[in-house]
Amino acid sequence: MPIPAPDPKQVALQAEDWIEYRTGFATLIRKFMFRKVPPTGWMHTLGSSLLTVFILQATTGMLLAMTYDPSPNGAYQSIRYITDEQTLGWLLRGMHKWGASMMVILLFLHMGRVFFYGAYKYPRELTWLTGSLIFILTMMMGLTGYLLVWDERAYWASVVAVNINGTAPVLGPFISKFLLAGPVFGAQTISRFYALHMLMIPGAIGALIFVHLWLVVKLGVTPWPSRPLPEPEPQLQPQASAPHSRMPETVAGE
Amino acid sequence: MSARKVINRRVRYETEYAASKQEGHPFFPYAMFHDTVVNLLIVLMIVGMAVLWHATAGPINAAHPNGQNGWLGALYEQKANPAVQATEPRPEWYFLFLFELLRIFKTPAELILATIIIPTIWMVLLIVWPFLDRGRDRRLSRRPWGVAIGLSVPAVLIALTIAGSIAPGVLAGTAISANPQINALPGSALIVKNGCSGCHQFPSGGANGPGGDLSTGSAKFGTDQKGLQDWISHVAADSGTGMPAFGKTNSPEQIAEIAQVIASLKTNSVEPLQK
Ligand code: HEM
Repeated sequence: MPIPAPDPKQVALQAEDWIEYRTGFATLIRKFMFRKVPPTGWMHTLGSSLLTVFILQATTGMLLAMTYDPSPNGAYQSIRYITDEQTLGWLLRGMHKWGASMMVILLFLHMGRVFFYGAYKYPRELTWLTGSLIFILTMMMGLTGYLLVWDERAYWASVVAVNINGTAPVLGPFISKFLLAGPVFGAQTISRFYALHMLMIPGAIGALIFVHLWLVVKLGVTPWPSRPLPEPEPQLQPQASAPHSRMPETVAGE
Repeated sequence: MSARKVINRRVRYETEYAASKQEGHPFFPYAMFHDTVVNLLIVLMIVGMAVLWHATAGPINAAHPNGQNGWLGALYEQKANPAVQATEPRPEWYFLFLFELLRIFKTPAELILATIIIPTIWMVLLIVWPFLDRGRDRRLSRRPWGVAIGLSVPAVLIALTIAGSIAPGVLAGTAISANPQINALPGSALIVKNGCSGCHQFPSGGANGPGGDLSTGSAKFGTDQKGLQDWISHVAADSGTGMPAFGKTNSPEQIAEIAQVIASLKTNSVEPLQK
């Protein structure tokens, strides 16, 4: 007896059910995709572009790390090898280098959009706070990455940056000592900058992006402000456990 | 804040936000369409810049010992040589505003402004901004201070970045002044070799900061060669001016020869070398 050909639609549905039953991902994705958002426009795309560029930086960075040699004698040689000889190495390095500049530009634009929309206001204070930590850490990525090329310009700019940093009171000298990892700029410094640039700072940024996006999805994005806030509703009575409870039924059930 | 106020605040916010959602749409496909278009464009721009950078610049080779600058700068410069500072220290473009602040605030006392007051305070302000600006109405017409800050901070940053990007005229050869006797001193060649003019002004050129003006010698030390020697060798670095410790990369004799030239610029005549 011939076995009937499986219906592709049935197979797809079964596969989805298989995954959904074990992970709940299908529901999660459906909820995320079809959630209602207020009117959004081109200005709301900057955050997702930042996510894309961050992923691009992480990817090109990992690929560069396969060839890059973080030592005073090897760093410059490996950069030249990547740029001049490795197949498409120039593209890899170029995308990482210009992706960094793009990231900084997008950060400023995204911050500007959020600022003028008043999107950092109640209840999105923590979204802004995580964003500004990401911003500061991204600038530190620029600083630590610059030295890794180990050419004249990178070297002396980093010497001055670390010296200047050392002038800050209280923490300054400690941070400078930590960055230098020795009496002068040398093998230890390059290892330290490298570890910061490819492990510690991006790890922290990644974790902060997760929290940032969690808040963005939880709270929803902010549309262009065009309406005054409604007047307070005097008839509402706070419930026993407020303000720690969820919103009163009348509102939450809207 | 009383529970009643908290509830009221939430109700007002939720009511307004629910009304905006009513006018909105599902994330997919509406918002996602915009996201996809802009993300693709951004990635294309990054690839485009990488291609332009590589296609217009050239490698270091026998004919071009210092590399070939393209439209978007060089692929790399010479390998770093900790013993010789041949170029002026230039940061990435997004740190130029800080670099320019260093040029504006030069003396060690003022430097605190450039290094601490400005960056640290601005960083703290950035982080806590939502807790300072607590007004609830988001409309620009109700946020005059917000709008003023939102427009002036970027304007200042852009102005500082442009000013910081204007490259100083770094000296070459040994003609650091109009006085041939001073130029003939061995210290003049060392001044050029060590790249002092990347940060300091000399009679025939150099940078208007971050270092102080040396075109009529040192305001701080005058003809005190011993003081100059210590300063250049390590005191400047130890006291956190941002100037490198040149004693690490020059012999005591070379430091003395450099100090002799700085002292001579003060009187515009050759001062005797002091060891
Ligand atoms: C890698 C860095 C960042 C990523 C990936 C990111 C991602 C996003 C995304 C996808 C959104 C959704 C709406 C939109 O795109 O406009 C968003 C919203 C937001 N971001 Fe960021 N962001 C980053 C950095 C920042 C920075 C530096 C700040 C501020 C200092 C910030 C503050 C905010 C705020 C307050 C919102 C809420 C906007 C609203 O409710 O409409 N973000 N972010």
